[in-house]
Amino acid sequence: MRLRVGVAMVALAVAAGACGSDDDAGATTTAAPTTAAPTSTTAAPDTDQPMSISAALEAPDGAQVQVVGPLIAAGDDVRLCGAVMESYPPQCGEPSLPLDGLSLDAVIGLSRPDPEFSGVVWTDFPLVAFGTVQDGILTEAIPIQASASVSDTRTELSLAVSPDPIPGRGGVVWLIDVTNLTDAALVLQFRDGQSADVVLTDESGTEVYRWSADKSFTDALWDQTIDPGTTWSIQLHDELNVAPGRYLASATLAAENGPEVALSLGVDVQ
Amino acid sequence: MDIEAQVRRTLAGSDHELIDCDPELADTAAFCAHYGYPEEQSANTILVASRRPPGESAACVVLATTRLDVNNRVRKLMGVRKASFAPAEVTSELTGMLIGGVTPFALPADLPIYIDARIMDLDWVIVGGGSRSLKLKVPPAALAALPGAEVVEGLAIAQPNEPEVN
Repeated sequence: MRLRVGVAMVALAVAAGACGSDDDAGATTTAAPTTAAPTSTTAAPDTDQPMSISAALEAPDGAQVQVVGPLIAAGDDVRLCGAVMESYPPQCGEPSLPLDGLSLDAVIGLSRPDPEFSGVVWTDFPLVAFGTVQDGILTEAIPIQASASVSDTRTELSLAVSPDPIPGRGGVVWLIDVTNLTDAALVLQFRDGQSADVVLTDESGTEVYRWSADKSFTDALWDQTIDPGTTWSIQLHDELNVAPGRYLASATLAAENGPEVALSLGVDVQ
Repeated sequence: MDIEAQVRRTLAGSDHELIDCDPELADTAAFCAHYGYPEEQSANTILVASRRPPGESAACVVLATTRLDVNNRVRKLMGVRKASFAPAEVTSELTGMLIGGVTPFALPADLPIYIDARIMDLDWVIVGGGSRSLKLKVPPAALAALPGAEVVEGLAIAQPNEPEVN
């Protein structure tokens, strides 16, 4: 298994704003975006496959391992959890593996609760983390997520997928983070229940999958407010039925007032 | 009893009008444009389901020109931490109806129905008829009289360019 952290492929599209109102705060009408390229690593784990938390806890000190499990971070206490207790916010069940040095900003798809629970964030999907085992702690931990990010002057859009590589048949979760880069609240406006979309195209550019294709959406206007400096995480769940191969996954927001940026990520389907 | 029969029975003896509709034009914007009804007097019945804790649901009736406040008002009415639009399959499971045809007049008896107070200011309103081939023109009082119905101020938010009605 390749160890990939960061951009597999980033493509950018900026379209003209779709809304005509004078107070439209979201449409991007000029093509002046920048791409944000996360860092990459070439470190190699001692094993090719992610191991369970129990196995990692029994690994010898100094072993470089990949470990898989849902992440729960309560303040500085960041762990992969052997079980998740379904409270709100969720609590970490044993066995659990403390992670040292992991930057939560590097994780795409974190669930964030209401303000009264600030300080606790988690993933609703199993995250793979890489690091070195030392005294029952995964040190120098980094998340292993193939991801791509793109930003304009107001927002950053990030895309990842779980699991990775994607099984040709079975459940998949597309993870899309929208971060408000400004010092004012960003209000995204939607015309129906669809918040985003993901399209897979093959090497010839032929579309082989569209998340929204077999779905209908509630006929409802609604808003999503993203406070300054905060991130809204979208999870698109689906059952995939795609032939094995290398594809380009392209994500767009369905907001009628932008941000009209799109990004693409190279993904492997097994 | 099928949905349409249930609707007819619920509305029997009350002021209402049945409007046949091409299923391809059942979505509000298309319906209003094609059949000449104002979106300002058309309402959507939206199923909202809780994510944390899961298993709680409610129906919300709001004008097509207003924005359902699902993240705040609806979530608090339901007493849940997270709520979002019910997916199409959940809507169908809960109501027996398809998105675009959901009517408040044939919902499960134990499902709360929240009605945005703006609707009560109108003489009449268009709502779904139970299928994508039927709409109903009813007085708002017929909605408020439904079992489990509650008229809620601020259930929906005016669009940025829409003046608030006082």
